[in-house]
Amino acid sequence: MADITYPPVEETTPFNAESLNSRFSDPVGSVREAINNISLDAIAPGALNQFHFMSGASTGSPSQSFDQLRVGRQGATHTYTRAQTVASSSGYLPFNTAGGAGSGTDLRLTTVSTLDDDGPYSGILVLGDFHLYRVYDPSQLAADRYSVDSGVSVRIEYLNPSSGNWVGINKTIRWVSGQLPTNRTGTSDSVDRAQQLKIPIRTLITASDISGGKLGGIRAVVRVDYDSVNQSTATAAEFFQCDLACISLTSKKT
Amino acid sequence: MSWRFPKFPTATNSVPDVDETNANFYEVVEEIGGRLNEHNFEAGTFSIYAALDSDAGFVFHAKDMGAGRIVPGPAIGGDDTRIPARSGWRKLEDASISFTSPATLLWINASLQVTQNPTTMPAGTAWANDDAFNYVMVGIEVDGYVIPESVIGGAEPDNDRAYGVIWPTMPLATDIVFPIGPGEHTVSLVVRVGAREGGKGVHVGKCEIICLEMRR
Repeated sequence: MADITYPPVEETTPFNAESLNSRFSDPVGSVREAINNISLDAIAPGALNQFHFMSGASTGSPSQSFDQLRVGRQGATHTYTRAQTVASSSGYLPFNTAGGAGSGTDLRLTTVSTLDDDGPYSGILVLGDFHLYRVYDPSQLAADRYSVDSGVSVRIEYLNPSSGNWVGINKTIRWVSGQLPTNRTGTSDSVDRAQQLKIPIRTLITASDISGGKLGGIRAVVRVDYDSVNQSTATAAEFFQCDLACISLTSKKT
Repeated sequence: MSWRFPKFPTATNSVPDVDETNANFYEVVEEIGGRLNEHNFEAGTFSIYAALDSDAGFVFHAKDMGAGRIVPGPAIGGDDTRIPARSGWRKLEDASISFTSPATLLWINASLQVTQNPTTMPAGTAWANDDAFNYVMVGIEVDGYVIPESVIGGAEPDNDRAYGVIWPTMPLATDIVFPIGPGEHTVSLVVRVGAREGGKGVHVGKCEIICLEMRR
């Protein structure tokens, strides 16, 4: 609490410019000195709110929200094949409105360009949800399409502004696989059903995760894995809606 | 300012009065000498970049196990964490952090990779499940207490042996916003595996926990 005292002008005090000014200027404990030394605890709890401070988080400038893929039916899935991911130099393909062909828009966000533990931005919180419809081998008969060894991997990559290359952040790799009980007696109704799993990624990217603390954007990529013994490079992964969000944090890392 | 100043303005040709002069200043001094509130600060006065300490808005604590552990493909590391069937809550040390904070709101995000596929488990282990699906539950523990609202997972058993996919490998994620008091806290990602005939447990691979102190 601020301790500010105004020494009143007394009846016996000469009432002139000097007696008035002295209340506010030089003497120790004067009003001017006290106001210039207001302590932190003089601020009432809750006094400073959203009208005084801008948010500590910045959503950056999302350039693409993947609206086109926010659907919930099979006919609107986007598909990636093992053959396509093998052909990619990194083994991964960006999520794209046109699927593995890559002729649409990538699932990519623009972020702050520099991360530094000392600020102003020291981290990017990335939240991604990728809804897998199925990963299967379309060249097989319905009862044999789903192998436990077929899977799909998703990870987050950042754009290295120096090289122009997208670089994977391996701690973000998440993957799914699973066989449906298609071969079990009495479960014929299960034949050719889809796995339908969600792949969530929650990660915090800091300066230590990226080269030189510089980045030019964030994107999500996918890789199709397959059972090399029983299945072919025709193995495909179909996705429903995919969402990617990142929040750049003005914060301190401990 | 939300009050009139001066309270008794001195008019031309008037005689200044001591009491009125004092009263002109008392109100201001008393207001500042009390507690400054939202009326004392102009909107937009502060730039968070220049006027705030780096720990004034957000402070985050994060831990992950890095790039090791289970990755796609046959090159599976042997240092993954095994959670046996019928387990209680098991804390993942790679996703457990302790820190000291003021009273604040925490936004906790936690994620992990789980596999039940015996073909991806380390050779020589007796952890290979049959084709059953072990249901997995994941939660966030704060200071030894598993927050019920953070718990996800589970399964609805069928009358057949298997329910859901067989030998699934999947990532899971959960989050919660939780108020904490001042002092030292430990926040952990916890996992437990349900009872399932034939099920021997699951393996946990990559995992990460992020605690965001939202101080403003």
